[in-house]
Amino acid sequence: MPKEIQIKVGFGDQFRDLTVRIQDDDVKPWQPGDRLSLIGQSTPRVDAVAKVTGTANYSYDQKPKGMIYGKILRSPHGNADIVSIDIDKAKKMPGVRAILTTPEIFEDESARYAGAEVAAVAADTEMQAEAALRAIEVEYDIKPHCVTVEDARKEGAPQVGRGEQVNVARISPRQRRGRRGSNSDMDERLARQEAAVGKVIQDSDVVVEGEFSTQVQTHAPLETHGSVCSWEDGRLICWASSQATFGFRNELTSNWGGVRAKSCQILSEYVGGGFGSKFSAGREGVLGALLAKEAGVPVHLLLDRSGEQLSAGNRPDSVQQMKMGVNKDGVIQGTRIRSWGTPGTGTGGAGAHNDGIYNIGEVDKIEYGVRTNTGGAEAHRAPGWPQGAFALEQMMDMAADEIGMDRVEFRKKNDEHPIRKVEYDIAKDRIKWNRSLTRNGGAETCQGLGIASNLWFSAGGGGASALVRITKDGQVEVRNGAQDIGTGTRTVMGMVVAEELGLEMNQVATRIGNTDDPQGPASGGSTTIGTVTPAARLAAYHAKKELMEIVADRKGWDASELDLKDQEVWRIGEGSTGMTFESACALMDDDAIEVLKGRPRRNYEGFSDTNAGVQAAHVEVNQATGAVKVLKVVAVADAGKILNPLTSESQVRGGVIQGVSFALFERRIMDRQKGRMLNDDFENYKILGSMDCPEIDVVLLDVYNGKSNTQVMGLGEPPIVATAAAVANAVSDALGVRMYDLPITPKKVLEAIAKRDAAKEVPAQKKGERL
Amino acid sequence: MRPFKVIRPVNEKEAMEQVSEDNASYMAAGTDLLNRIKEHVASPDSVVDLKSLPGMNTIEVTDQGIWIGALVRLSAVSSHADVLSRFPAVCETIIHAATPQIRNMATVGGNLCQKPRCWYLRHEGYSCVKNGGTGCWARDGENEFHGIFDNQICSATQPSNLAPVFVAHEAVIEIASKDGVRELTADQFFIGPASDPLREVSLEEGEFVRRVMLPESTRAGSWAYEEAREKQSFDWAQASVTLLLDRGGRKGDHRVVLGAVSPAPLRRSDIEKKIDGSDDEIAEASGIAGAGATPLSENGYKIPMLKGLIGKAIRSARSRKEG
Ligand SMILES: Cc1cc2nc3c(=O)[nH]c(=O)nc-3n(C[C@H](O)[C@H](O)[C@H](O)COP(=O)(O)OP(=O)(O)OC[C@H]3O[C@@H](n4cnc5c(N)ncnc54)[C@H](O)[C@@H]3O)c2cc1C
Ligand code: SF4
Repeated sequence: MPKEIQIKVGFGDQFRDLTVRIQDDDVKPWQPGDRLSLIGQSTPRVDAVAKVTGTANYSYDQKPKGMIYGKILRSPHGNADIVSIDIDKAKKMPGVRAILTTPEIFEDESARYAGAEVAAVAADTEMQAEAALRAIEVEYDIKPHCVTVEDARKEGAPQVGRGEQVNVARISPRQRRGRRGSNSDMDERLARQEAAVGKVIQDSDVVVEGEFSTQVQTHAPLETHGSVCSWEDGRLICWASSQATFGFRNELTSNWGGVRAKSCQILSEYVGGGFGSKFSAGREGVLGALLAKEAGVPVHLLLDRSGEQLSAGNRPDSVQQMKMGVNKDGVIQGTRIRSWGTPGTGTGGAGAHNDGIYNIGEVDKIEYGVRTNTGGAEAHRAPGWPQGAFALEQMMDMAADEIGMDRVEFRKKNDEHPIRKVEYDIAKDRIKWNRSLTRNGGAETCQGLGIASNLWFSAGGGGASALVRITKDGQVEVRNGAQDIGTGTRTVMGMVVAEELGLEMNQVATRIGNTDDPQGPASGGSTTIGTVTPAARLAAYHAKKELMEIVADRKGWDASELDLKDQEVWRIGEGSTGMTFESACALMDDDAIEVLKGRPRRNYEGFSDTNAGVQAAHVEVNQATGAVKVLKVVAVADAGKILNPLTSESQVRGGVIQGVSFALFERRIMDRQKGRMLNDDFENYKILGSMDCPEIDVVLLDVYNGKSNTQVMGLGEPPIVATAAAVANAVSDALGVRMYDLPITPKKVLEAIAKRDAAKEVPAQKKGERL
Repeated sequence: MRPFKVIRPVNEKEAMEQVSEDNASYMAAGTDLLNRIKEHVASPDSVVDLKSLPGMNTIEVTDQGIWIGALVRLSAVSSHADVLSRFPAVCETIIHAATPQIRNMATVGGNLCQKPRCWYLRHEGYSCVKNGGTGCWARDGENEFHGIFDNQICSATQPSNLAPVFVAHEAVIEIASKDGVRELTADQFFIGPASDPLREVSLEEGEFVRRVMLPESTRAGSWAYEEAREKQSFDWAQASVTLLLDRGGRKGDHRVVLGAVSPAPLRRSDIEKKIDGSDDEIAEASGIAGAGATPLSENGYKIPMLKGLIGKAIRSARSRKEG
């Protein structure tokens, strides 16, 4: 039976009362004015010292007794089928203990991109494994390839996939299959939509349009994909670099590749990043488990950097054609969108979210996925959003300029988000929006400002339980089997429990990343914290209740009047009873109190279902060298209740850093001749370094949103949505020419300047000047 | 990585004998060679470690100039007080190279003799004129970072940051060879693909660099080193300009050497002549930056980039002089 409670929701000076129905055993969300000792205080990560001193053992660092090394052989061809694999020679090489081939394991003879797995070897040393790989003789049936969207879209382009698969398929609205409504109905509907929206745009006061493109970005986590696998009496123990321990386990106990472990434990105590690419065990996970089984000893199979770059996922590229009709009063009337993106040979989506965030009037959007002979895409930190925001936000600036409205005012006009409305002004103020800068001038350097917005949906959901254990001698531990991919989940889970029990951080031990512990979520969609912490708080709350009942029983007090605060037993509303937490624990008859609680499946009604966020960038462009330096990014972010400002800020910084890196540097470079990736390394795949990092000014808004007992929303993805868009707008502002293509490299800047100056020769350029 | 034998010769003669054995390579710090072995684009059966040779690890300051042993680390050169005060441009180019960690390991000899970074050359399975095959993949391929001058045979650029500044200073390269020691000027030492596409430096079989001399007679009245690249943290130059003004106190004895745009450092006497102190010297000098360039499909931007860098270099050298 749900129960009704009264709470306050809102933020800043916008609070309102709300009656919400919550699960009957749940605890009331913290309220404004509650006396909290840890929640809301910047608290260093509990594993910070272990991580920076190198004592934290990642999966890559595991070395169970007898461990040997696994390696994967990859196809060098842009598109091929495997005709035969001869492993005779390799088998006889020194140190070789097991060899597997992928046609046999995955029943897949195709090697549709350069980097596709062909075979795997386990040997005593890495060098022996590599030597054996090179001794495997593979006969390929080499087929023509296309590795770019442009090539794959061409008339008569070689077929990327197999069987019926076409290169270009409409992904949104989805092509219908089966009975309900025919495709010709759909085609008619789309044609009507095109005509109707076309008319709305035509009838608007001004029309702006542009074609925007973004690049393929690899996830490039420092710890590569893979695992260390060890079979012990039929049970598989697997130290995995994973952002979904339970999903990883389920794959290894399933039929996939025939692993079928009867029992399997995944251990991921420390994970060196995932960014969305580590939900699945992947072929490398399956091969690692099978090699270990066949070799009869533990096998270390984590990818090398090249394998990681080639096959472990990426953010799809995009080509986005946008056309927008806007009235002079600043209201967007309608938008036409056509976009293309490549999931490579993967099955994932390749869409760009270029119609979210603002109200963009009537929308006519069709989106296509384009297969290419490249490594498959995976969800990448806010999948589809940074690339969509890039196109949309350039359009917003173009439209604002065209009707002569301030770029922020124009956004506000088409934005209803209650939180973002406030965030615009904070961002404007901190970036000094109205300052005068040298724009578009003849000087060596010029500067500009840009603004863009975030949107996300991440209050968490069901699927997590937590175990809280309080022992007779006063030890407290909280366990949840989900992983912490660097976001700080472990720390915040501990904080929530410590807060509830009136303890200090160092009094609560945390255990995570272990599938023998209670169920936890995959770290995706920024939902981990909103899913795990309500379970942890609930378990702690009930453990506390049990302890208070024991105390009340022994002392003849009333349990409902007792609480824990400042490491002592308190009488609610009165103060400490003088009894310490430890002496309360000592009153237990049993060894320990153990409470396992599941998070409510559904979120409660609350203030907002979405996080907002606004970012503003200040850039300097060197017109002599084409170099863009991002001087400062103001990132205004909200994520429900901010439980730990320090780790929250760190998430935002990480998003901004990866966003600047996407805006200026990162891109997969394919050789179209052989169909191979040329920068499958950290030398030519360029990632922002310390000297390229802007000053990052993070402003966090604390929102009591009421959606769960911790009211927190995730912050992994939102802060990367706007960054590249804001940086690109700032570069365009500085140069006085629009940048249509990411990343904004010196080459593109110099080319844009040349174009601008050629146009300048005739009449003075007007557009983009905002002084 | 393919296994190989490591040989530690005790003297130069033994080093030369060992390296002339089948399929052997010299190695200094290995920051380039070992990576190529790991990538399977170099596969020596044995590696002759020059670090075991005596006497190549010192910097010697004389009246004629500064001698730098081939085994001296890049970071030791850039922090050496005499090099800093007499040949500051050399130090400046070094601190733009690679990362602090690599500069602490990498040697001067290795830096001069490192192989080009063309990504086709550094991926197994691409055979071209530079590794004994025919043709060039970059010509119709991904050539954004390749050269725009002298790029008909091979457009891979000379990767060494020291190469242009050594040419500008007419550094003397002392080479140990079977018939004793020989010397080349840096300008003779670095060669383009027309003479031999397999080599970037004119070392004959068995030869190695012993030391390099920066001649006192080329000390610059003022100087500048300007480099453009995508990232500021550890990246290769897309183009660079080394400018020395009034070398050896001789008015008008300038050097302009371009880096990262051609197979060997490119001295541009035509640009040097335009640097004459006149009001429009910057426009004049940078205006001809692209003379003789034959850009490929993706690297035409290097011409405006060079223009910009030449302008920056002249401004910077002039202000240094006055300042
Ligand atoms: C990530 C990274 C970034 C880099 N960025 C830059 C950069 O921006 N600018 C730059 O200039 N360099 C850069 N480098 C290259 C670096 O400077 C070279 O790898 C280094 O200088 C080579 O020196 P070494 O002593 O390690 O040479 P080794 O790797 O030992 O040798 C390199 C080559 O030279 C030969 N050799 C070595 N010593 C001699 C000798 N005395 N006589 C004859 N032949 C010899 C070897 O046989 C081998 O072929 C970078 C390298 C890396 C890995
Ligand atoms: S540029 Fe030179 S090294 Fe590169 S592919 Fe062409 S010939 Fe080979």
